[in-house]
Amino acid sequence: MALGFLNGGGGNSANFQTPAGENLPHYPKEALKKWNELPEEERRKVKEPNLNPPRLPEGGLAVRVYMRPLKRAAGGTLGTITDQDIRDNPTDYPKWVIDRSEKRFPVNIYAEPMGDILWLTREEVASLVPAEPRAGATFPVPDPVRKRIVRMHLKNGTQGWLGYWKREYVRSDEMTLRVEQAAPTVRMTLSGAVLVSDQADPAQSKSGYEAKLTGVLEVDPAKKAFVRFDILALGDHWGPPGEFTRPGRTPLGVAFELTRGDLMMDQAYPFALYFPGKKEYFGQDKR
Amino acid sequence: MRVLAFVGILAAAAPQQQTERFDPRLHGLIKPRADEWKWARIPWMGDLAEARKKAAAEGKPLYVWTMAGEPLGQC
Repeated sequence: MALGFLNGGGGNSANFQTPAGENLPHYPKEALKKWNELPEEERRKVKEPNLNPPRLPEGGLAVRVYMRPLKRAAGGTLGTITDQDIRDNPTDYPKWVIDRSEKRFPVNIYAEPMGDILWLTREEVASLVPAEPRAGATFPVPDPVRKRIVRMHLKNGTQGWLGYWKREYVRSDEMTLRVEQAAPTVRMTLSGAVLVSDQADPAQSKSGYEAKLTGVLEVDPAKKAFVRFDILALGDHWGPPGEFTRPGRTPLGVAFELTRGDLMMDQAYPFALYFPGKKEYFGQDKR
Repeated sequence: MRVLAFVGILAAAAPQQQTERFDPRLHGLIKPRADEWKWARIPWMGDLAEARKKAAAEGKPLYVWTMAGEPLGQC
């Protein structure tokens, strides 16, 4: 069976189709029965889909983003949430067991990482590399890149909808790059801290994220390309109020790495290009 | 006095050593483990036009998964 994937449109649905885009019955047996009943010419008919998905800007960079809810063990050690954690602690993981039989939906459905993609334009990529790199030099991550990482990608999308942070919710965002090695590759470390909160007073906030960022970025001048783009945000996330939301402030990690072309997600576009859209994603909005 | 001076230097250097450093182990902790993201093992095609052509050429129907973001359960 040929397989197709489309990152676009709303919601999440899966169905069988003919190459002309006609829907077949929902369940596999019925779909195949209907398919086999179709005349040969119907099965060979192809219709061009009317789609215009966003494309990575020429010379741009695509970076994978993973978000994962974590647990804090005794002593503050961070770890992944296990199936048993979820089964044993319905207060900490409210309604995470969607399906008691655990056949239709696995119990870890909200504990697995969520994926997304970060896109940077050619100019933004260039802004992350000093013209004359010198070991020990430091410089801030330019505003467009910093704001995009914070507003569009430091989100908890693990429950199915990423959303984004409004500009005014970003209370502080510092990110600094330090050149550790200038040749043969330019290796930089990233450090920073962010506070996002829907209220000026985080104590009154219903939704937010407070995290520290670290990272290692490496550019190969011979290839004129980043060969490493590892960033890690670790901190406490809270809200928004919802039936699946963990109570209080709970650890959330967001990891970035270069796309390698070996995962389906590498072909996807950033969720935020779908919502809130291109203008906000590329910082062209004036809000 | 020399011993005291040495201790003083160590104390002054301590805050710098507390600077957060990138931890590859923690970075790896966030990414999917081998037993996760089972859907990603399927060789999905990202180009629907190409997928339709391939399906027609092979005489097979398509299974099309559409969504707003990355696949994760019920959205």
